[in-house]
Amino acid sequence: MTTTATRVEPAAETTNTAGPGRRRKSSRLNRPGVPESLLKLVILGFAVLVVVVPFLGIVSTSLSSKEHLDAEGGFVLWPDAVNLEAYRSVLSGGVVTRALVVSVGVTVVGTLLSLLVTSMLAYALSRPGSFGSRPALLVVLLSLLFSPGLLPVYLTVRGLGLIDTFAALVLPVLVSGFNVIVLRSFFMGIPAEVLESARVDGAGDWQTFTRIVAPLSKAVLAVVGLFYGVGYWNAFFGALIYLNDQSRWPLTLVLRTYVLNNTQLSAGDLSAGAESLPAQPALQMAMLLVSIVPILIVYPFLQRHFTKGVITGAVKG
Amino acid sequence: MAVPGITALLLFHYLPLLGNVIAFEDYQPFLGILGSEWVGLEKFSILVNGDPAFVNAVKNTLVLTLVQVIFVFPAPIMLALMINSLLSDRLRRVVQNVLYLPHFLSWVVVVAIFQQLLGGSGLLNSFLRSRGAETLDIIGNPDLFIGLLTSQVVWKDSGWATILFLAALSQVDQSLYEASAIDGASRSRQLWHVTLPALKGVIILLLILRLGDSLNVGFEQIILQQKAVGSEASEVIDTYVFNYGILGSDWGTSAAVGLVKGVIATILVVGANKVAHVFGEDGVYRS
Amino acid sequence: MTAHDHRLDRRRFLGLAGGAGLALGMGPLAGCGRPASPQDLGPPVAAPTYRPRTGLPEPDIAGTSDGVIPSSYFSYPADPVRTVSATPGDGRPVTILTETFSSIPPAVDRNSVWSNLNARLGSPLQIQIVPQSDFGVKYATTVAGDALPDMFFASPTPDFPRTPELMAARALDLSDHLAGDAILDYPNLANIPTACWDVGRFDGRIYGLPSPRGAVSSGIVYRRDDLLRARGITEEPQSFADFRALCAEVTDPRSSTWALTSPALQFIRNMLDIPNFWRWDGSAMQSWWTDPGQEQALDAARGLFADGFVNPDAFTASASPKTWFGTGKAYFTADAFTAWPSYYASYGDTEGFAVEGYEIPAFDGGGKGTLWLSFPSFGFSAISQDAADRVEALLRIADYLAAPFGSVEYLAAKYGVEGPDFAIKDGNIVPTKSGTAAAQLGLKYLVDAPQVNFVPGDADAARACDRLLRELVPRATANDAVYLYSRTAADRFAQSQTRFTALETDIMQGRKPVSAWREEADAWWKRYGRQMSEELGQAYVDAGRG
Repeated sequence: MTTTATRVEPAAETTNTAGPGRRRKSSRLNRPGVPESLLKLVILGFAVLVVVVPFLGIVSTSLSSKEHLDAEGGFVLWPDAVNLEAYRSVLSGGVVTRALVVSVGVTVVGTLLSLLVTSMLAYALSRPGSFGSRPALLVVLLSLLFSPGLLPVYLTVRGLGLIDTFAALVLPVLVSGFNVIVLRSFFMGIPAEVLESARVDGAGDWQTFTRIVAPLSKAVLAVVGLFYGVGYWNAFFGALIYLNDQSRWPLTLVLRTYVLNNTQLSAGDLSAGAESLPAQPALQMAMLLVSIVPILIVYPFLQRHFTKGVITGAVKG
Repeated sequence: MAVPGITALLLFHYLPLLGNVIAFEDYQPFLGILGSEWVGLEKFSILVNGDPAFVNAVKNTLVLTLVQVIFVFPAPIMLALMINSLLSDRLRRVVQNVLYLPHFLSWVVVVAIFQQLLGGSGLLNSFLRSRGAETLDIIGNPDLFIGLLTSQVVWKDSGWATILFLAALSQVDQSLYEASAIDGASRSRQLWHVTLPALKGVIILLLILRLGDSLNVGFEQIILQQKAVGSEASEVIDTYVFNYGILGSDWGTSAAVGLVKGVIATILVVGANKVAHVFGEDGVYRS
Repeated sequence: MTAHDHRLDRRRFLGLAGGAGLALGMGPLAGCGRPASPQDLGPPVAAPTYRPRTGLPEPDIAGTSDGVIPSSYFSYPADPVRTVSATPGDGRPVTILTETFSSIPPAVDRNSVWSNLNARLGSPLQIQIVPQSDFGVKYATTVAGDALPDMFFASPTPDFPRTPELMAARALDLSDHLAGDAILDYPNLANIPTACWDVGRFDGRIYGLPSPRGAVSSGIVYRRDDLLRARGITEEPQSFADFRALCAEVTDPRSSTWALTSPALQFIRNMLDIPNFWRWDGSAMQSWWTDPGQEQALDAARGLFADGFVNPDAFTASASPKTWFGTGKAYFTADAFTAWPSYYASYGDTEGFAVEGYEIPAFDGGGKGTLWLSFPSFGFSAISQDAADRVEALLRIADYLAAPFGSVEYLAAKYGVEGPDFAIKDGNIVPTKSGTAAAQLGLKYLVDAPQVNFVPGDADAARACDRLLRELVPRATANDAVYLYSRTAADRFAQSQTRFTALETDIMQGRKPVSAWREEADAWWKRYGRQMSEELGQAYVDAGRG
């Protein structure tokens, strides 16, 4: 997982500007040469192809019939017909819809809380000289290097009475030391003058944070928020060990049972239900796509924040 | 303001870290931490008893870490630069949205896809066979394993990793490009003097943090493919501990190895940070 | 008559339990509040009496009286009998932890199988179902957190190597309720053959309820009889060389067809009469790993793979042997007897589809090999000490769940309600779409009825399976150390197994020479093997088997 820590100075003066007319001329001067463009397009094109083809296979497999899949070894690049059996099977019985609701809830609440707490901590650590910031930074850094074992974390959660609660899916992973360090780095890039002027105007720590720092950091907050969000969405292990009722499982854990448990029905069971059940690979792929769809919907909205985050100012080299 | 964050870390990270004391015990869950037998350094013996399989695992871990730092780490940076320089905003968004998709697949699925496409009876080889050509042994070939692992990681995570770099690049003031253009700078000089310096801080920070993670080289990804290539090519420290520790419910050993890995990671991070200072960078922290 | 004897070890750990001296600051981490004080165990008890149920529908072919070879039924009895008269439960919820090999069922409020079962049992079941691959972790956290439910699947080792101590510390000793004739209060439980109960016996006491399997879980090599007959091949191989030639004949890579889904190592080992894990030779326990025949077996398997008779993806994570075999991409596959009906269920629609199993020839011809008899039980479940006050109710519920094939309760526990969950068509039980998912409650791992050979809709297939069982089982070799406890084996067997399996795959794929096996086996023997052999040998004698 990578995060960014740019030393961008959001509100500094620029030393050199050019008007719009000049911009057009200079961009013409620097249009990329043909071989460079071609190379770029070939590489990116290859990268896109290499991703699209397997995903096409995933979609196709989820739509294919059992006969087609059996004949082709379980994974196909093109379906024989559009067969929604697998989706119908996955979405019936309420298991998936319930898990979806749980996942969405945990992700939204978890991401907001994590973002809040992390950014507060990162801001506090970014002001050198503030009380306790050195040891606190050490605490954060060391947390990245040493990981507690599974059972001690479980026992802690249990000791706090959080077993079988949704809080257990959020609190133990609330703060990622990684994201703290990244945010801190970004905050440190905010020039002292900006914060000084806020203080002079009588703003306290909290107001400085909410009124000045946060709005300037939209891009990186969006990125960190995205990372937390995806982290919460993909997490399944916490649910496995802290929740006692599988009707409260998040989607990824339910998906796991489809993908990992290759035997659809164990040998002792009887089933002439072959005609009534979709093929196992189709089920797995359908399940997979269903679990990815919410993120595919959310991401483009967030993307706007960090591609449009153009802030005038010089960049410290 | 730091209170909630620090509290969460202390409570859910450091308090359980005390539980690493089981590295010195013959821990059994039904006896509890206090009730399990104290065995001193016995659980650490896995590291020093010279088991050739373990030595091999360490070697593989180091090789993989090196390969990943050299090949996997720069890939998203280059991709980000290329995407960023696309003129069409829409094209940029489409490419990015496509490239990050594999990140959401679990390793089980990724490995299965690679095997379905490149395996001995997979699509590629079936095609070759039906044309009478020689088949390619990709999935089961120990010599190609490092390449296979690396390409899987690049495929899965590079697109996602570009997000950060693209966000950083989006912060670069456009007027700087204009100013340098007016000064007659070619595109490569612009890259060198405007773009890369903007990314320098990010790259160094991430590199140092990556070193802190360096001994973790993809447990789930590897364990899924061990049987196909054999343990000599694929065993790393984490899989070794799993195969010979956890499978016998040897919690103490895995805690012991975790402690040692943490110490090594600390040394690496502190060292790398100091090196960064020498080059005038801030790194992760300033002493 | 002890099945496990580790009293010496237990005394040792009792002495150290007070020891560690890490009192301070451990607060929540010492969450395992109750110290491990084993119950006051009495002397070893007799095994539960075996009394096969009467009044069940007549099988089409009767099985053996010891339950090793199951009865065969060609269709589900038209009039299922009632085996449980009173409602078993006590009205209070029953918490359960079990595993599953398939998908998660719908929650109880949308699950007609589950809610129907709750009504019939008279106690609502709160079932925690965990994917089988994650069960070890869940089990460990449950034990560490002292949160064991009323009834729990007590995974067989290696997930819990100190099982006897764990049982003594956390599970309820059921001996008073199940030993000897006491079990006759629970007639369906008494219907379970004696050998199956050993899986849950520790220190001579009874802790566990078994899930019987018997011979049907033994592994054989199946063949696609229809495809072979179409090629005019009807003879059975009389030696390994024959088998090899057969594989060569049917392999056709250009059409993505290979003879084998795997190198059939177990089949070859059977041809060489290699022991089934451990064999008592009259005075000591011999290990299969050190058996001199192993090198020959591995070399033979290696040859099959090297010559291209095995699907090249046999060792990858996405290998799907059942599908390859079922769709004709492979002619032979290694699987258990229990797979016989499921192949027909999944692929029976294919024109002329027919499978058969091979008898085992001697490797060099002129005789017969030996089948490895599988374990009598799949695993066992235990009852938590916290549920001691209602143990009779829980045992009555177990009794219901163990109702045999041909009973009303069997249908309710495994399939649900006729109509919404399943239908009986032509003597076959056909689950509905919703019924299939809803029925995956994992209860069959808690306790189960003895297996039957049920291949509905195809009496010939059922007869063929039965015939092969009767041919192979009498000469089969069992694991002589089954359900015997050895401390070294409990701690080290899993690792040893991992090492040897990795070596096997390396040798079969040609990465290591066959000679590497002897080195590894000798090293293992010195390190752990001899000690395991001694401990198991001692246990064997103590158990009165030797």
